[in-house]
Amino acid sequence: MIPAEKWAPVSEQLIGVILGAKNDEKMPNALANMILLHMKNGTASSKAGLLALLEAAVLLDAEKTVAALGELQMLKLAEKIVQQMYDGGLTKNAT
Amino acid sequence: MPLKFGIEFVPKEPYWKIAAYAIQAEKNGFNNLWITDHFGNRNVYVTLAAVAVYTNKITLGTGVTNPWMVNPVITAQAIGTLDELAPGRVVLGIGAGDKTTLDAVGVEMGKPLAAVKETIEIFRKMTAGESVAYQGEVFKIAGAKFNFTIKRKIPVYVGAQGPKMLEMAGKIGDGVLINASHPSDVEYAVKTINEGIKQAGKKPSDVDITAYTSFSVNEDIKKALKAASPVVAFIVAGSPAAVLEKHGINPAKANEIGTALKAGDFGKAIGAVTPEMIDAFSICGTPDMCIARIAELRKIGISQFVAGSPVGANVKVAIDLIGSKIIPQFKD
Repeated sequence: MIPAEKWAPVSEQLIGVILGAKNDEKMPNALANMILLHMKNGTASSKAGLLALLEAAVLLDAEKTVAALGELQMLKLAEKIVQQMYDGGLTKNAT
Repeated sequence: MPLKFGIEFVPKEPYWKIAAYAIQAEKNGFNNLWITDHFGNRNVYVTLAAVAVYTNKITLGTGVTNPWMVNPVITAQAIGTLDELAPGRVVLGIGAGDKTTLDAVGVEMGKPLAAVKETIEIFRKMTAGESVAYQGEVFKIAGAKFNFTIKRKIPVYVGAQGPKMLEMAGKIGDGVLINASHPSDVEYAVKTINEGIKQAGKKPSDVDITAYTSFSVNEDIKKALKAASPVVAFIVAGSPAAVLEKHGINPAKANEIGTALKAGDFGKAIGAVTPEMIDAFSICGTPDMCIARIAELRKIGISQFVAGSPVGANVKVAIDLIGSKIIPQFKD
């Protein structure tokens, strides 16, 4: 759903959403550790990295996640997130 | 010699945010990362350990711990253990501590110069693997030795502001963290540190002279100012009248800010911060404005520049700005 050329900017935007989020306590530490490992290894813009970032970003600030994706013309993904927000979270199909 | 860049983080944020910023700072070319030590925030050593796991190159240090809250033997143990986790990239940052903080937990702060000096002596002996029996003015250790080996001499940076601490820092420190942002304050500090270096028979290049500033950068100056104002309000409220007058700030204005802060009226306190206060106690503005101020400090003789709290209105954006626009100006 995200074209390969947009993986890096989407990754950067999602990291921005996560770091700017105020409700830190919502971040599961296993997910946080996974994201940190992706960031350290330079794989935050891989499929696995993006999936972890999307999951965290939606969890911490769904509105800003949708807005950030909208800015990057990722409207279909943004719509999908809105749809999935209330019913079971994201799946691998999102990326 | 390129100017080194450091960045300070306050662990009022969870470990994963600080580790993420640390990864970003490392990728943006920062050399040093400093974590503040205050009992009200998360533990400095646990936070440094998390950062150590997720970084590869950046040098990590306490920015700064103090002699009082933790026995120097345990400080040496914590730093020594951290050096196993991040071999060769750990330093100790130690200063006198903050009286208000120590009062809050009922710890008496006596003889700050002796306490810092003795802590450093004990730290160096313990991390060198010695069996330490120490009779100081402040600390008395009957006999202590680690059951593990620390593989190198870990550098010690002394946090300093007053003349006696600055001079002592020059004498005994491997680095000095000058708690100031304004060129006139840093110039005075560097001169005093150099006196200490001379007295100890060392070369100026033996000591990493670091300006540990309150820093705020943004492409939009209004955003940079907005982020700097709360930090400057606290600095102004805690500064002695002589320091305020030196910068042309009316102590009565500082009292107003202090009173508002104590009353919890942060809006009033922040609203009373003037451009003169921002100029005296922070480096704040667009990247070009910050570059000009850092260049002044470099000319004065610093070898490391620390972008301290708040760093910027948006820390992630600020780290990228420093990495892309500021650090490249000081590569040679």
